[in-house]
Amino acid sequence: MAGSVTTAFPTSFKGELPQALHNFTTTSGNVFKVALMTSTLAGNVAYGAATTAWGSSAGTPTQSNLGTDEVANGSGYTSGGFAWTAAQNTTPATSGTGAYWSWSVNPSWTSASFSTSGCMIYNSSASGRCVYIGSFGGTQTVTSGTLTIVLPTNGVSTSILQIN
Amino acid sequence: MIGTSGSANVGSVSVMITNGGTKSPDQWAKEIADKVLYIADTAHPMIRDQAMMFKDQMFRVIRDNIALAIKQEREWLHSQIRS
Repeated sequence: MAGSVTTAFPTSFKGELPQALHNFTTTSGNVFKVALMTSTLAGNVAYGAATTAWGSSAGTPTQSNLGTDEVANGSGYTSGGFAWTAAQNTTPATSGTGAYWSWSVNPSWTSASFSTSGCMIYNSSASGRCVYIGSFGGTQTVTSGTLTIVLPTNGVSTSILQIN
Repeated sequence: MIGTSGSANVGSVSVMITNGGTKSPDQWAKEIADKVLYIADTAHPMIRDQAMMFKDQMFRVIRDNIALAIKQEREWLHSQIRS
């Protein structure tokens, strides 16, 4: 049986917010990365709300270690994934009773040839703690081209990360 | 009675693939315009129409300037290689 990926706000991340383990502030905040998951997800892990960390790109996949379920290094992909600079963090904003935040650029991979089924955003400044799991709704294959993850518009009801 | 409620939510990501190359000025412009301006389906029709016109204008400005920037960069590289 293969694993699966479901778009989710990780439960562990909810617990980490009041402990101030993440800083999304523009320029002075943490560095966040986006790792891609393979299309096969051979580790039989159900990535989603229960996922806690990126871990590493090696070893047995678990909820705290993407391991061999990460797209292999090479062919336009570097283990660990795309790294935003802290300057590309968008400082959390509020509107009404909600708060929301995102990043200013869409992560992309050029000269790429691989297949992927989802992504994990994690805080590389804070032990790789996972802050987002995203499903692509199926296998996405790029061949000698560019794969871009398009983030939703940064708004109170649309942003990739929201507390309402 | 004092009540509180709240929820942590996530937006959905989508994937854009350009096989055999890099993104075109059109793709870059659409990506940037979508990032800057979101128009809700539930917006008042009059406001929505104006917003869509504004977004279309923004898209054209971004697209044309990206294309121009690429052209100028290529011309500069060409002149550097020749000299």
